[in-house]
Amino acid sequence: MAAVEILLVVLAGIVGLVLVVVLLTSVLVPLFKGIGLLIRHVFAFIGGMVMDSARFVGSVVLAVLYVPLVLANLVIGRFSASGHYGRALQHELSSAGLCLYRVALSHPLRLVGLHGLVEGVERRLPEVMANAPTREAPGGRGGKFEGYSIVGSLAAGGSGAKLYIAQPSAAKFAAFQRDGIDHVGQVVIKTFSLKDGSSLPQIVRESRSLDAAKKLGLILDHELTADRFYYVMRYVPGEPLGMMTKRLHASSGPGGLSPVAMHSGLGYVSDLVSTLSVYHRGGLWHKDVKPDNVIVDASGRAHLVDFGLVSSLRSAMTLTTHGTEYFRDPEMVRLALKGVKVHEVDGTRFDIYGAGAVLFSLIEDSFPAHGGLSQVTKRCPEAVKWIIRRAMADYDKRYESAAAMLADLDVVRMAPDPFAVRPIDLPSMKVGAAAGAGPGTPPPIPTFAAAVGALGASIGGAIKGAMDTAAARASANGPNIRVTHWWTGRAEVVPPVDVRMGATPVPLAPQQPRRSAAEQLASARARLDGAKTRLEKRRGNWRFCGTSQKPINGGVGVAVAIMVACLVAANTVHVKKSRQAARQIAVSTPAASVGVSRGGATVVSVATDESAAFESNDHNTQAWPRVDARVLVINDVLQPWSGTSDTTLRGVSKGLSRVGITALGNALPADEGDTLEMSGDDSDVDLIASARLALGQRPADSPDAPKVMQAWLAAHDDDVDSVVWIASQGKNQPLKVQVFGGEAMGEKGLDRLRASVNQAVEKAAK
Amino acid sequence: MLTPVNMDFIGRLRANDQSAWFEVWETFGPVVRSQLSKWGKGRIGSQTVQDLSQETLAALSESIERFDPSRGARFSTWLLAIAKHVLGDELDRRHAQKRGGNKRAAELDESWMASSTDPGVDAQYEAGVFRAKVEAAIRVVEKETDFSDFAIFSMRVLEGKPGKEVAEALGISEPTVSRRLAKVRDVLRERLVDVIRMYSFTEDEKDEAARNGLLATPKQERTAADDALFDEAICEIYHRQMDLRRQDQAARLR
Repeated sequence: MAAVEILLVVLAGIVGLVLVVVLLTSVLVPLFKGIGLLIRHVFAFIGGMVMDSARFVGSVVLAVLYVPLVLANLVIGRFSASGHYGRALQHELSSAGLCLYRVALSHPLRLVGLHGLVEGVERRLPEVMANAPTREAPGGRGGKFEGYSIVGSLAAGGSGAKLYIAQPSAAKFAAFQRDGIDHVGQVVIKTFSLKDGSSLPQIVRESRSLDAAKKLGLILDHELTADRFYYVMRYVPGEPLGMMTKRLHASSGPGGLSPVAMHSGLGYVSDLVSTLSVYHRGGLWHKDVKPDNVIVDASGRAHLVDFGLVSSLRSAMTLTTHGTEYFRDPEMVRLALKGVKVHEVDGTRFDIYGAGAVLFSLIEDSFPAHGGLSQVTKRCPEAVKWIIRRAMADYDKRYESAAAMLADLDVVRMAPDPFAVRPIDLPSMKVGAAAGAGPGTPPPIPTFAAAVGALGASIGGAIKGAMDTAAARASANGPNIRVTHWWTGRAEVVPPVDVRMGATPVPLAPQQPRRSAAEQLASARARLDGAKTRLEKRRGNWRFCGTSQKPINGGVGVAVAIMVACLVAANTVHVKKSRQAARQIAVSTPAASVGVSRGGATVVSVATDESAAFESNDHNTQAWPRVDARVLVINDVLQPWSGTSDTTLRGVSKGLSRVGITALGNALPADEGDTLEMSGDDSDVDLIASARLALGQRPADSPDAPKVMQAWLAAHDDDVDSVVWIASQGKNQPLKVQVFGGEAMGEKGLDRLRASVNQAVEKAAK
Repeated sequence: MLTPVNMDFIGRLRANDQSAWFEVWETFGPVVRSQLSKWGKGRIGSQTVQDLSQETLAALSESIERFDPSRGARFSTWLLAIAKHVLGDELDRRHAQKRGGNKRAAELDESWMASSTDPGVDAQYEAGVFRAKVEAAIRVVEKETDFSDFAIFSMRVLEGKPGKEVAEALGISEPTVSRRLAKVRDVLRERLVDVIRMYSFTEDEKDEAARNGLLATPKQERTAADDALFDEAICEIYHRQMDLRRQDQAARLR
């Protein structure tokens, strides 16, 4: 009995002990924790009240002290000092106001647990106010914009410019239409004024990018005066991609984007990459690709905006670190800090990195804080992860062109189930079908309406045709930089790496070394001297005939006149016959066909008398008469060049070389013996872009191409005398070589050029 | 004693090679900012810490002339001392400006450069610096290896996907995945040694790899278990570093 009682007592003790422990852990500990928190909360309140009260008093005292300083300096005429003390006074007053707000509202509200209300006032309200549009109309200092009436304004960006929404006048609409720009609605005016606080470097930077953007029709109008610069672009109403991303995630849940939201998001990024492809084809790069610079309109199309940092891919300027953190390739910063020039790198790859970062932020609703190593943690198709990884990979391993990235994106976007698409199913992974990278295969044309968006179909069409296949070439022209000794920062130029599974790297064709400015100047002077000498010689010969010391009697004069008349008549008949024959015959060599165009007529590529005369000794450059002309070479054939293409191009190079041509551009291979002079100037890119824009969507061998190009040459006769346009006609097809000549070149010079190129190409093909 | 490699690195910093300063700040910025925020709790706002940029650090390049590594300073301590110095300078400048511009900024105390005494670092900071070194090595490997090989490494080790899944995604066989992974792993082992040596001033710092299970075992003696252990350690370090970067990003955007 006693044992049972003892047992019961022990059990009761144990149960009591357990109850005490449970009570302690579940009730008392949280209770004390709560009391601790409450005490801390109260002390935080008291501390905050005391500190802010003290700060308030301090600020008021200081403000009172500053007032006489401001006034005294004002009275004695020290306006700068007065302004300085005035700013200090302003700072103290705002500090006092803030302290007063905290004492009166913030701390008491926090004490009673209304953090949410306080946070709304303290965090979200200033954010909204900071993003509020600026004043509706420009002030007196900003002046008016002739031909535009301001209807609204946009929040100012980071560049210090002011942005206004405006309605163009009827006269402006008419001017746009005259320039071939249709479908212009409201426009955005971005203005920089020295009086309004913009700095000269900002204005210079923006005006430099303006020239580049105008070529793509992105800029409609501009004006530069002594104290102000503004430019006009189309207005795209919509919301930034960052905001759209938040909305998509809010509707999808915390796990990641829903299939519908994923499809929409991929569509936005596809539009973005498509637009980038257009930029790159035009020889430009955007340099500030980020969600805030992508506007999604009401129809769900994404538009890339803000051309503040747009620059030419072949610019001779030093690379800068401009851009936005997390969306800017760290490699670009490294190269910029090393003083690398823009044309020494492939700028398109930095845009591709930005596009990859935008895709990452869309999927994750966050920034890629880890750069290329950032990990996708939310629901995402494996193929999309692969695209992000590839776009944000190391500089020489990422997509070679925006078109290649676009092809991958479109496969995932169009798939019925994006999650079923494997990385191996992406076009960039398939050997032999490298989107936009295969020899002789033009990259897929992006959905242009989406790419150019509000630019309008007419301009868009023109650009599309003009910039065909340029992206891959621009990409190939820029060398890849590989850091060989990462601890010393030493780098070397390497051929592009084909990252397709199992693919072997393809070496770049040798590039012409860039000549220094002094060398180019010396070369130009030598050519000028040569021309002068030849002219003098001709004049001397003429003088000899006309002013011979031997007296010339009248009979001789008459005889000479008759002979000259006969020669002129014979020549006229011969030229007419040649032209008639040219209209009827077309000859293609096995490797290439050469057409020579002039004045609307397409002349056949058969060997002429002159070319036949020189055929026997084509290796002897002295045998070919020199042609003093500046020839712009536009080579549409994608690198790496196939064997036949390379042969043809070398033929063109030889044909130009042996008549002493100075070729503009840097697009032809050359054999060792050739003496082709390539200027390699950055302005060549502008000329090529301008010529492409002029030709529009027409192929180089279209019937009206000669007429268009002749008009273009007439407008650019200060820079170019002739254009040699080399186009691909498809895989395993011969190249098409068109030669266009301007008025300034002369009939004879063009014939010689044509003969030389024609014969050299035929010879190379054999 | 400094090795020729890290002497070269210090030489680049001394030569005001901005890209070298950028490397330092890109690699160690988050861990230094984290430590400064921890120290300056209540005194140094996140905005001030955020303002510390590689450009600010680069401005100190002249001071590095007085750095004497033979006195036994650790790299991690040296790094933090620089940041602390920059921060102090920045605060002095701000206070001087606030006082009305009539008073010069406080004189810089550069005695830390000579001896690098007691910035008061803790084990957590040391571990953070080590993780940053490992991350730097991974980045070097990313640059040096083939894209698809590194992608396999990333999927297999950093994301922890099974070999079969990786093989299916890339349309290759599992043995190929293992072979390519082993290739990247070997390069990473080598680069870890290089990077840790470069960013280490003392023997103790150089031994950190061994202490963290990343010792470069001779190739012929390596077993599958060694490789698994290595992968596991790399994965853990990478994820911890990623957490740190996320926190750093959140603080900077706050």
